[in-house]
Amino acid sequence: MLIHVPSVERLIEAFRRLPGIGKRTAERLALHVLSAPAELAETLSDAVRDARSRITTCDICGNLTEANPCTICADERRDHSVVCVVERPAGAMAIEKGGTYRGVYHVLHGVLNPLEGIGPAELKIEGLLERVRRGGVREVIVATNTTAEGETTALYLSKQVSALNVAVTRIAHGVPMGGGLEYTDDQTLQRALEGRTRL
Amino acid sequence: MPQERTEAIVLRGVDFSETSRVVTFLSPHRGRMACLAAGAKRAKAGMAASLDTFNRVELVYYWKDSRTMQKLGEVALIDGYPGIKNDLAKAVYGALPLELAYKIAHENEPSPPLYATMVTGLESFAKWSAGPDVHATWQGLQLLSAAGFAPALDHCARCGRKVDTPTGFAFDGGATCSNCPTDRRLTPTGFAALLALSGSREFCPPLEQTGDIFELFCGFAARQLDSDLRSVRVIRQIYGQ
Repeated sequence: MLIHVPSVERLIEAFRRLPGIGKRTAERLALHVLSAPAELAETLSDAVRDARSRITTCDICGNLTEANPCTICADERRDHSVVCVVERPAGAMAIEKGGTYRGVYHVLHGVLNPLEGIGPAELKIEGLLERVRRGGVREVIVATNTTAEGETTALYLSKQVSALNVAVTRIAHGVPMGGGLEYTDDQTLQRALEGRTRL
Repeated sequence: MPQERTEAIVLRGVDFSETSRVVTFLSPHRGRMACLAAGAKRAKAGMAASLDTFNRVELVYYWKDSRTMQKLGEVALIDGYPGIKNDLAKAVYGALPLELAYKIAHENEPSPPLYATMVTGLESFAKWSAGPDVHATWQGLQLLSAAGFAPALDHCARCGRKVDTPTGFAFDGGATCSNCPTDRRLTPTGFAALLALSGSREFCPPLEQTGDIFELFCGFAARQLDSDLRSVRVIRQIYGQ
């Protein structure tokens, strides 16, 4: 049976390492790659190898990029005085998809998590503070997730950045667009009420 | 597969897949319990906020003896302890009792005293206004005591002789007399603070002078549990303790 061939098993195992891919999906993907024209496998492996070798982290913001500094940091039309802090590159991508934010980013590559032993030294916090110290930043928007760890990180950044006389803001939390109040959990509703705005 | 309902504290959560999380709870009748919260990260599940660390929740799960990870059915928030989460120092120091509870509790072993101690500690910490290191030490001492790891304070941990004013502290047992080898010097202030914090079961005494008992306690806890305490490493990074 094909599944017991070592090279196929290695391919299945490689797919299984990807997030959200279970054993069945990994088998399906492996069989698809093997049964499709050889060109597909070559294009896929070339694309993975090429991207992996070209992509690095931006020296300024820590986001994933091919050019250094990244296209966002190098863009003169963006507002470099507003820095949005996100946990991971995916956070910056999500905000970029919205298309309305015109400032720049700073990627922490994680959040403070004392239970897992992740402190400020394990994150790109010093890089952010250095950016603020160099001047030209008037606002830091903390867009970490609304988990206990995300909130702890936001409080820590607020303390550190405020000490440098720069405004720190937190993204709003609340009821999602199109969401019904009756389906919203208690904590989100409480936050939404606390963060209410005048009409 | 029997469905069970219990109260629990969320000790830890890690992502399992794009949409699911593995959450570890401390429960009174099942001790430490890991549950798979399938789809918890989906907005429609409405579960993610309740599964945040520190939360006290009521949960419904499907128990199966042969599994190391149970299946979570429902979860409802009892208390999110915003008094802890909205304060940087409390959120950082508060991780120590959570880590201790995680390491002390055993899987599928009833531990109502440990659970009650944890709830009392969280409720008290949410309202606490003095030094967070004092409260974390008190909570930690109570948790260790509930698990049978209380430090010796009325006799020398090394030779067993009764001591009224110990001069040292051994991480593997507690206070020591002046004749026995010790890991740290114990000042009269530190000893008085240790006695006060160990002896008060229901609330943390608002001590102002504690010496360096937080460091002393961390050394004791790490030795008793034979484990490096990750939260202490982060506390030291942020507060230089």
